[in-house]
Amino acid sequence: MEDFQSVIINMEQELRRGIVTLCVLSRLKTPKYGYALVEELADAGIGIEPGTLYPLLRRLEAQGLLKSEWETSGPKPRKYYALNETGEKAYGLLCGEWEKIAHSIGRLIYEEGIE
Amino acid sequence: MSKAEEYIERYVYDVTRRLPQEQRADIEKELRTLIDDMLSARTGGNEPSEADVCAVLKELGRPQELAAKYRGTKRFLIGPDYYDIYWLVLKIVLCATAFGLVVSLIVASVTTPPQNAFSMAAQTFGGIIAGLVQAFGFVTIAFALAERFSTKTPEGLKWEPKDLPPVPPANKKDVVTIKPAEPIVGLIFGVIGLVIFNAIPWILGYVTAAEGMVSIPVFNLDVLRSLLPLIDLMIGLGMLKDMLRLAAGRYTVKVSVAIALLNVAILVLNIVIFLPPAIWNAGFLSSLYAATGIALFASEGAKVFWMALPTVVVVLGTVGYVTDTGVTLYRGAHGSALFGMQTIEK
Repeated sequence: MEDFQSVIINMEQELRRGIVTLCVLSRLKTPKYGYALVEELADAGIGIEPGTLYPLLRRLEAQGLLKSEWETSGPKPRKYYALNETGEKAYGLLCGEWEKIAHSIGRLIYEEGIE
Repeated sequence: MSKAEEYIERYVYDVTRRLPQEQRADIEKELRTLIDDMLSARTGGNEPSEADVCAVLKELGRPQELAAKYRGTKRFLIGPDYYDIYWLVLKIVLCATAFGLVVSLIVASVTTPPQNAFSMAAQTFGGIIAGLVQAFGFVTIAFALAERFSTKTPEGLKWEPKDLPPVPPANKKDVVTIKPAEPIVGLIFGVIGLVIFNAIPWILGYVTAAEGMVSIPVFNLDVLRSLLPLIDLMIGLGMLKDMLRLAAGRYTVKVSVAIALLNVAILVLNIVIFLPPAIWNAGFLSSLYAATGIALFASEGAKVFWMALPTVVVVLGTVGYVTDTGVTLYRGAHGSALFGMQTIEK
């Protein structure tokens, strides 16, 4: 039998994996670089490892949802990411989906006597 | 360069070398800044120690895992689509190869006595391991190529539930489903046949160890050797047939027609190889008589039988293949008739 602890950790990870994209998109209405995003999300209670976020940002860019720009005037070169037009549209649609899910889950978990 | 810097250099290199050329420079730049940011966050802007760097790199994860996340695709030799059939074929091939090798090595060691038991055991063991490794290699390469060149475009991965094959009714299951035992036995005999014809063809005949090793083969070994490519092709087609049965798992019109076509090819090869008298050992009876002194082998009846043998072999083979073809086509047609409704009605 699988260790209970690892089963739970695995389930939690899977649960988070789906919503991380939505969280990232929500913070990119203004351009941000990767590590700032890590800290911002951590402050909001969404822990995401840099090793996961950085590749995710590139994937979202490759999927055409983000635009990026190198900022080289500072002490370190930083790559800033932000939503483009398609990204904004996708974000809107995902938010709608999230509301539906949150509503349904809320009913399932908190309300008794669902037929 | 400090030790801490050296760690970073090595880490960045180990990640980026696993990435596509065109992304390396960009990711490298970003990764360096990230490590710097993580270090600042950790030390509050102070000079990071070696331990700080190690902690940060560990947080980023193993280089191959980080690189894999950047690539976004899993890399594998044989993916989930082929894994089951790969494993099945591998098991069969390894078992058959081991069996064939053990048999041929036992025969070889009996006929040519080795210096001592130890060298024989070592030779046998080494030969079997080498043979198994080769078999493993061939099967794996074949499947890796299939994986590499299979088209897995989004189009190719599309499927409709209505394309699912129907479940055969319980009482008709035996007619249309192919039990794996039959083709597996076929494959094992195929391997044994390949070993015998290629390595020890003289064993087919009268073999005695009475006065040294004497073999009177039923085949003319020189002619046999020149025909080996055809013989191997014939056995190979037979094994292909078995693999097809194994992979299909059930008879359909397509499967049974393919098997029928393979049978026709095997039948033609059977006739071409074994009907001409040249491949048979013309002096078999006289050698046998000389070796044993049994008068029966010098009789007219024996001669007639020997003359007729090629025809008998070919006729028996033909009957076998025709029967197999008929039964297969019947089962295929039956399978399709049973499942005339190939798609599920809405």
